[in-house]
Amino acid sequence: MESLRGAFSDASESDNPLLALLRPPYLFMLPLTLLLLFMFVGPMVAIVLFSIQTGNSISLDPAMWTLANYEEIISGMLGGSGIYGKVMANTVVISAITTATTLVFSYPAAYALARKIKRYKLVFLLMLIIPLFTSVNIRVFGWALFLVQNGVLDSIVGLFGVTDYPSMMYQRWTIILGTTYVYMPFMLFPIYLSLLSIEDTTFEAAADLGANKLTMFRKILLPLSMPGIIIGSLFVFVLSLGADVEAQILGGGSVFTMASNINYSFGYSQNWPLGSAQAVGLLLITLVAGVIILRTIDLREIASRGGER
Amino acid sequence: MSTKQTSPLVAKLKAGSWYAYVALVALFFILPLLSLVIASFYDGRFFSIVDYEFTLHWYEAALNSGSIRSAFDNTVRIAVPVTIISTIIGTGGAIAYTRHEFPYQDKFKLLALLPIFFPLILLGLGMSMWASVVGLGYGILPAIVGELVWISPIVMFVVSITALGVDPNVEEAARDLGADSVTLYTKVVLPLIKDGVVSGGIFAFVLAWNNYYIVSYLSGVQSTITTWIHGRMTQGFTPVVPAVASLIFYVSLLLVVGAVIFEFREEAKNN
Amino acid sequence: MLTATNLRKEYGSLVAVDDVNLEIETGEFATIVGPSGCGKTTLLRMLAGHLEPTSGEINLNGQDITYTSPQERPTSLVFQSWALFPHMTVRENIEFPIKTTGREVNGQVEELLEQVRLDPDVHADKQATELSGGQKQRVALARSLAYDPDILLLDEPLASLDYVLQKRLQRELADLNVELDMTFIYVTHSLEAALVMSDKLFVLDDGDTIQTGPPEDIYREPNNKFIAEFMGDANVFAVTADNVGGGTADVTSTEFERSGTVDTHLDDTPEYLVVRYDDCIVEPELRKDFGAEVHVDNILVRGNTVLIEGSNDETDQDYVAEVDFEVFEGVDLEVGDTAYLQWDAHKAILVPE
Repeated sequence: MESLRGAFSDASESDNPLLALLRPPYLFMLPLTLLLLFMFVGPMVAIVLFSIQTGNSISLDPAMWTLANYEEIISGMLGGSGIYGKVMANTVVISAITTATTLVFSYPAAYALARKIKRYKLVFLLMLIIPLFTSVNIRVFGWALFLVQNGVLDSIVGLFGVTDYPSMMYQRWTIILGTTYVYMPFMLFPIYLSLLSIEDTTFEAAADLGANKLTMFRKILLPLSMPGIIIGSLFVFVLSLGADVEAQILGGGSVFTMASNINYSFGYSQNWPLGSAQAVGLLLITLVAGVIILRTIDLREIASRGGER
Repeated sequence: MSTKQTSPLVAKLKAGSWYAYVALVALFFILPLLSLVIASFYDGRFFSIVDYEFTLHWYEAALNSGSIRSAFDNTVRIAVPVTIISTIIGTGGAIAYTRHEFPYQDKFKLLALLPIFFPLILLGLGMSMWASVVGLGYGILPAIVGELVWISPIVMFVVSITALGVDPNVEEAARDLGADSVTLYTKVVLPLIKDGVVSGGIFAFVLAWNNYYIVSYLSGVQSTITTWIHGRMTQGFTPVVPAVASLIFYVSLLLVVGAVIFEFREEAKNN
Repeated sequence: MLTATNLRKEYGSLVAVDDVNLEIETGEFATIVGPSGCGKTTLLRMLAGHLEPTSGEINLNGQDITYTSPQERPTSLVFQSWALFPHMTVRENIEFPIKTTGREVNGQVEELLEQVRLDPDVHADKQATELSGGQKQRVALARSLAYDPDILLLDEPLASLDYVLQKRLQRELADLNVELDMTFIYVTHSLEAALVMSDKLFVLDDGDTIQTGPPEDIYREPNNKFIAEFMGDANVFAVTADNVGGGTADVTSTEFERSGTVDTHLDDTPEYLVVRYDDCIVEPELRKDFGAEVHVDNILVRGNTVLIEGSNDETDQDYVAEVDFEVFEGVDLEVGDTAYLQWDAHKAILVPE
């Protein structure tokens, strides 16, 4: 019996775990796993390790570790003297406002797309998807062309005789316009998907039971679309914490954000440890938000909704 | 029972206002891209709608410039391998995750999809330090590896959505009917998820084509179209930049429209 | 002959299949029946080779196939979802196992389609997705037969079809089993299907076979209260038994009147008396061996028969009888009446817990 068992033994029964790696499903997940361990986990660990290195080191030395970078940043933030506190506050305010505006403007659009719009739906969806697949550089540059003096907006309002109005560029709200624009799809589509899954009969039943418009929204629409709202908000908040190009081009360097500060530490001052220490905060927030999002998302559910689009 | 009577006119207006709002949002979404295209054909420094002077001059200049040509070349040299490799390993991840059961499956999903949610600047600068520490260096190859980290998970996501729609029993049925592993994957699994793989591949190309952050941290002295545009943008207005950016945009537009129409055609056929 | 010896499947601390023994003759139509979650699908998947048992042995015609992979195993499974390959035509689906086993495709598709009563000229070149549910089921069957298995395994393949179609396909499957002289193992939770088709029944509960035998035997002589209730609509009363032995027992109960001697096929001391609804009648006077006075709560006319539901406040028990319509008309019973629900001793079945 033992010999028979050996002869017919299923592949996965093999005693050698290394050989098992060369068979499905491990064979299929191995390249992606190795790639991510090497080029995703590795770099994130590098950020953490560099944040505790001294001076302007550009290589890792386990013997030379320090918390000086964190001390500098935190004391700067607490003392209110340095730029860190201001940059941090700026960034959080911009991200929070961005999250709020994308939510307010996305919700009705997501609702209309999911439940009201039947004709030309594909055209609308296309117009909303295309920016997602265009370089953030190019889109932000497009806004600059629109808003800049003697730009597209200028020539349009000029038609109505308006020639004198405050400059649109290099303001804090211009950055918020940029982040709102860039990250709005990340709010719109999760909400859209969550609204798609609500059965029409749910609304009919609620109407039958005498719910008015406000009750319908508060008791049915809002709770059922809450997963979409949460995922979208986490998405937008985290991604806009990392906004850099928007601040650079539309803010013209007038407003510093966390990302542009980090970028500055790396690029101009060549201070990797200081840049890393600032990035660790962003990394932690991203990690937590990413895990929450992934735990909330059910791919199976999204797949089953695909047909209803 | 409601006694309210809505007149057909009011109903029409209501429906119309939903359309109007979505149209407004859609306009907002494409406004900068529209501005870009308008500017790219405009011949002159100061922009005017009234006496718009049409020219193809900037496109000509863009196509004839050596530095732009080499940036295009580099972009293609990065985007093509990224598309091929990410489609293969992303599809592999999707097949493993959606069509098999194995220990730590949830941990695998978490690791594999997490990069999608990371701000690109974080990925870029981490990779740039890492490339120096492990001796990977900077250039075309490191840029390819770096982009794969962000794009392969997106391919996996897209393919997973298709793969989850396939009857979970087909593999067992095929095995049961005598199929070996090669037959199983080439004759049954891959044909069934083909549509997802094609869309995933197209998205992979468009994302690699447009990537800025990761490339800017890893490509070193090699400039791609997006880093070239960024360099020019921060140095003030150069009239050739809108033309170059528009060219990039046209390619993306064509592919994304193609991919979306492909998806919907398949769906319409299935319903 | 297929035998399974002490077949066991554990998932961590959960025992899905608990040392099951099966013995199925070649050509037999065997049905494994039990409520959902009883382990019947796990058992079937082990027989098909999609799941490895924790312990135990599966033996086919003297050969150990416990760890033979599904593609090597001479079994073929018809899935509940049918699992047709949606990207292939009917013909390509059926040709699939012929090609994997290295055989020549030579008219088998037409032959098999006719065998499952589908017109090859009409259906062979349709896409699998274009078929109706019943047609899909037939194609799935033809595809499994094309593998030329020794044993055909069926995992409730009729469950999602409408009632009339189910009845027809049950008959066809039974006919096919005889025609092909192939072993069929059918898994279902539906007792009706089991009774119509099978030569042999395995009743499964909690991962364990609790009774095995021809369906008539199990119907007539259930081993315990669970099987008796599962096998058909029946009243179950707790009884006290004396003088158990020699095939009879004397029973009394607080839940019905009169006591008497009842035949029993078991040696265990019976704890319950089971009597099927259609073995009971309701009349104003008690004239049969056992009976209980009931208040008639409900009368449901079900075509040829009438279901009479009653209750008794003292025993706090519900009583049901199913009588022929003519008999019911003769009694002249109405809701709210008081009458005796009664039955004869030879209709009663005694079972332990």
